[in-house]
Amino acid sequence: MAQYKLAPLEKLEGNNRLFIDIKGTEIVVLEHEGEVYAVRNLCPHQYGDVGAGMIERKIVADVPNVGERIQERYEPGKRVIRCPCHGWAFDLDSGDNIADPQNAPGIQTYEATVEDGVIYIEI
Amino acid sequence: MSKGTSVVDIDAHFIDHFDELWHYLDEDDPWRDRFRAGAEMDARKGNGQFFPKTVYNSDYEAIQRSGFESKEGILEDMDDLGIDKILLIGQQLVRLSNIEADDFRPIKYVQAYMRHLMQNIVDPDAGIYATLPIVQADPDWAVSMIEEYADDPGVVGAVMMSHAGEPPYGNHRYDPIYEACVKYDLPVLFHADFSSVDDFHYKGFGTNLETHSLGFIIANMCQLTSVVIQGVPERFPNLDIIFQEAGLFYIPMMMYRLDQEYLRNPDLAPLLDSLPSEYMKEFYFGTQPMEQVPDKKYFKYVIEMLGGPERLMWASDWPHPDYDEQSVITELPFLSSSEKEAILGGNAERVFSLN
Repeated sequence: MAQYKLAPLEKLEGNNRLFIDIKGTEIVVLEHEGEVYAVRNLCPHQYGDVGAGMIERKIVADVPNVGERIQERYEPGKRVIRCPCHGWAFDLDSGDNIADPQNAPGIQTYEATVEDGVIYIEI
Repeated sequence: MSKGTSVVDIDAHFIDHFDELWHYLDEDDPWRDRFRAGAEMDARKGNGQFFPKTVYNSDYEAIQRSGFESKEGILEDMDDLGIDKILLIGQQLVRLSNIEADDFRPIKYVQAYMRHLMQNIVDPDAGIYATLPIVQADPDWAVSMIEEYADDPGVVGAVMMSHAGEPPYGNHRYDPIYEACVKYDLPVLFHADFSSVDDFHYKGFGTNLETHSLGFIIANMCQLTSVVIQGVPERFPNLDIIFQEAGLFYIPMMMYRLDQEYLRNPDLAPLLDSLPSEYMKEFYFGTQPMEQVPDKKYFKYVIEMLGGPERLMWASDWPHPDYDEQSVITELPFLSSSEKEAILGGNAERVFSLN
């Protein structure tokens, strides 16, 4: 693992995203609700630019009582990024494919930190 | 891809708008003003005023991909997707067979659409072609449109929307259409569409995920059953038939389901001389959307059953949310290079005479 100094945090203001090539791997760095995330910009489905996708809250549901409708809710603190090509969705923290975290392919995520107003990632 | 082999996309959706098309109706045609008024009133450019529309789009059904409404935009997207030749079908027109009233809307729309498309968009030298939308509700008028456009090198096929055509397309009322297509050497494409939760023929589904999963397949299954069992291949043996936008796995299922049923009741299909599966092996199939499988070897079995790679034509369905890249074909490990080239373009070039 190596740490890379990327850019001042202010570069992500205004929902701006950084698309960076590190050793031939394109990585997207973004800020959402005060958190900085870094993901590989490659969707496992058909290789789309997943890093350009929308960030959404994760919708979950519990098994309803007999005869009742499924009640959807947002899972607190969970965000997903959706590939703009076909809508495949991935947990922004873990990179897991939210459709099937165990079996469906996910995306690569990286540890992103901010020190003294500068973004670092570890690869 | 080897030198000289083209990539042909047999299904891409030109984004047609009422507010463009009304200009292409004759000035003394009352429908010109009706379309214009609808386009001016409706924020969605007349769609909601005149055509059945998709209800309850999920956020990803509403993926916005701009540009596919001008020749420049189409050429740009073709370049991005690595496409050399493209067959355009109108975006609004997939809802043509949903019109249940007996009125002039589909006729006027197709008339305006084709005038606009042929004047401003289609360019065979640039690889942009059109398939002629067939107004199934008026076969005589449809034949007149075939006769009007058949000699244009930019028109390479006729497309019938399989979603809601009634009676289904094996019915004899469509014979003049097939006869005209044979006469002018136009392949017929049957293009599926889906239903949203409010207009699916089974009521009460909860999400577009369900009806989108089912609608395309059911549409093609219905029309395919009618076309085969009513003997369209026997009545028009020189007609090239393509079914598209329902993936691949339903095809062998239908082949052997129909064989089973036909063998029990051959007297109900007296025109047939062969098993339904044998007729289907003479059809062509658009590949999109390729199913998501845990092991690509399953495609090998399916492709073998439906008659081999020579029956397939790659389609993107761009700019729709479930479009396919070429990788769905190029990454099938059991196909040879020549088989991939055939699916990605060679078969379509031959069948649609694009060379």
